[in-house]
Amino acid sequence: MSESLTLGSHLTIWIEAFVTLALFSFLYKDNPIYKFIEHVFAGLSAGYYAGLIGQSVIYPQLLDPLYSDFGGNWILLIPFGFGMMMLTRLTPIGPIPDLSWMSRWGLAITIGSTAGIFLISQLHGLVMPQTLDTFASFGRAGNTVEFAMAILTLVGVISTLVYFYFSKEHVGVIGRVAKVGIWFIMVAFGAQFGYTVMGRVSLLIGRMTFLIDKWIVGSMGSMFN
Amino acid sequence: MIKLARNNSAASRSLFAICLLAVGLCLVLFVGGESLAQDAVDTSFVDSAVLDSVAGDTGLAAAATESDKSEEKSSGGLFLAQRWNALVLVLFFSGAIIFYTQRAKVGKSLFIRKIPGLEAIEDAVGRATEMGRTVLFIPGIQELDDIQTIAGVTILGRIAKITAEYETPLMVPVRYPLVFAGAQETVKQSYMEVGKSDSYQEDTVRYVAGEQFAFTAHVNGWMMREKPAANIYMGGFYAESLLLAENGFAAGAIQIAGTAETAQLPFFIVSCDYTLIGEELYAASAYLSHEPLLLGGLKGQDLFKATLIAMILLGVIGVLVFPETLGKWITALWNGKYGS
Repeated sequence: MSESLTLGSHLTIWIEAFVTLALFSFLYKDNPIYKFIEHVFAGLSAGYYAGLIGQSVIYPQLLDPLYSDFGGNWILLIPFGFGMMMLTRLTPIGPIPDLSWMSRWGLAITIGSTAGIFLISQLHGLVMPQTLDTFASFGRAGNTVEFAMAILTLVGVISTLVYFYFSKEHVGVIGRVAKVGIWFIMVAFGAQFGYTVMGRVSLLIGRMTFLIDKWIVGSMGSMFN
Repeated sequence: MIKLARNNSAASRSLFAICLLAVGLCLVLFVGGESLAQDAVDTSFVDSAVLDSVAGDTGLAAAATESDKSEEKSSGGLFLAQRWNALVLVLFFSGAIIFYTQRAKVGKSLFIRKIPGLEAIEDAVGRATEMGRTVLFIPGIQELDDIQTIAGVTILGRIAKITAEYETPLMVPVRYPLVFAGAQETVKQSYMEVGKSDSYQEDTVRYVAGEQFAFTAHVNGWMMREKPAANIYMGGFYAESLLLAENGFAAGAIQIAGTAETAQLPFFIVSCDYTLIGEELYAASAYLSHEPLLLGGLKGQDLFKATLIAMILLGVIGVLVFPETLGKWITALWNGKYGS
């Protein structure tokens, strides 16, 4: 591997290793090197995303369709107009009066449409199939284990729903059912926690593999041998 | 409409939003109706794909979806008749919200139980005021088209009012330009509503970076330098949740988090002082503001949840005891045409 490394590859590996170690240095304490890399990272990503939106949204989804077939895509002028209104937040500028209130229109459309779309998608994609399956699983249960699982699911779903019921104080029967619900939630979180930690450890192993294999053995090895 | 948009009262804002929605609906129906209907037919695979995955997960009859697709494609029109059950549920849900909102508007008291994490917010801001330090609020790292971000920004409005009243510095780093605009507008409005417009600073809400971990790196660095007294995370978070919360803990801040991302909730639970779990995040804005409109929404949701519980129990009885009558009827209600 080391023999095939060019000067450019060495440089890339060393920059990667420096950035990785600079970010890891935050584990000790905040320091100027971390601060430098933090600002480089933030600045690069801001510029990168500006370019990305230009290339993946503004040109292919607005400018190109309007240029190639204006008659068929004139409706795109409406979101374009709302987008331009967002720029009124920069006013007042020179002779242009304060028009920043116009930017609320775009925000109102975004927030309103999001709420509406989510209501339907969550209802149709999650609430309805899960509700159906909670009781339909009893009809499908072919043996004792499947029936027991159906009961467990039923208890879990109902007690969790009761936990998220805000109109009654969690006392008495409701309190006891809600407590069962929080147990179900915590068991689910525990499983999720372990699963995600494994993923994080895997990321750390990836960085360590890079530092050892590519930087120390690969790049440093070829330089000092 | 322009006058309405300029006017800042809650009533005129609501009327303005309704006007905008009505204009949008008219445009969709009368201008783009036909093409939308065609799109709805052509893109029916989207919903079918979701249903396929749900069917795979839940054990519903996957085979039924193939025939559904072909029938769906031939249906045409603005409405898909086989989704009648979704219409019934939406009407019921909306009706419940409107009913409770009207009750709240005429002065009927609507009880909401205490949510400990939200009770702690005012204490956390008070602590920051006493210590003369900043309150950090992050409305998640998702776009404004994520419902969690909208919930986060709504909560931000209430928190900004408290910080404005106490004259406590507030810092709101955001990841997306649209969230930046929304958060800035919300904070500005809150300062105006408590008569502290002069205390509002333009750089309270800051755009940091578009990349998830660049955002996290910057916020973590800022936390260690500025040592905020209270960190409040409300919205959609992903892998950065533990990085932010652990760092906030190391910086000595009291931390309150809320998200509906189930994969991230365990991390917030172990590293924050209080955590709002899932739906509590959506309830928070109503709880904090006690506005009739929001309270009505919350009570409407509760009625919907109670109905869900009743329907599930009815479904179990139907499937086990009366499979040919009640069982079939209730399955059809929740299934529409799928899997039937």
